[in-house]
Amino acid sequence: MKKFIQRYKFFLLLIFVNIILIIYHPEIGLKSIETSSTSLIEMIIVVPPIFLLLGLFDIWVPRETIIALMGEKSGILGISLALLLGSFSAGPLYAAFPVAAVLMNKGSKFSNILLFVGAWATTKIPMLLFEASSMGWKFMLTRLIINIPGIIIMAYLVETMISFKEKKIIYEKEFSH
Amino acid sequence: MLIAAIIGSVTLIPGFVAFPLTAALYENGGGLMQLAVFICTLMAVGVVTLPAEIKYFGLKVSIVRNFLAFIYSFIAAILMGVLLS
Repeated sequence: MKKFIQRYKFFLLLIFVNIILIIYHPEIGLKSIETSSTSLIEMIIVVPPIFLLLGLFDIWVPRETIIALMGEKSGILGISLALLLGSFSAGPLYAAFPVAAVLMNKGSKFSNILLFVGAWATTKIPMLLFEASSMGWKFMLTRLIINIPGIIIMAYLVETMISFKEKKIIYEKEFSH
Repeated sequence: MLIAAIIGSVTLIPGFVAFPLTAALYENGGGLMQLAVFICTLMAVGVVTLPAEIKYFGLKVSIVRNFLAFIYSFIAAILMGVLLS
């Protein structure tokens, strides 16, 4: 019981807040439940296929391939691949983390992982099309052009800010997943 | 603009819900810069998903990445505001 509460403390807290909301502001409370269920459904739809694909990727793609394509010496190829992989994805940002973990596990360079996560967050192609249809092409293209250098700058900034030792700890953690 | 950025950071809504919302706000007189910063932080900054991110990348990388993304969202939004208006 204690373990259950510990593990789901945020969840329980949110349920509590939501019940209070429903009592005092039924309209906001119902809207909140609606949003929560949309997110939950999205998560249920997105997460299992990603883990399935990751499992296959883990078995089918040898470590040497990823080291050659996205490893320490992959250079511009690794950078472009990381950005493209991130852009061709779909799904929310939290789905990118397990993918990043597997890529790290396979020997990807850390800056390439950061590029991948950055691209996943801001240059997803399906989302870009959606953005263009609701905000206009000009808005979407301007944001894209401004954000791509941003992703690259941020990836290298984060990489320079962490030490070799810290990086090793992160990589070792991926092995234990 | 700060409020828009904070709302964008803490919310977790999929793009296909967010974009029609921002489009509607824009048509009703919402500021372009404010909406741009909302979109940028919504995409790149995830306060709700931070615990998951920390589990994978560690505390330091996650905090630094989200913080940088938050700052860059402002730069991007201001640039967009200047270029598009």
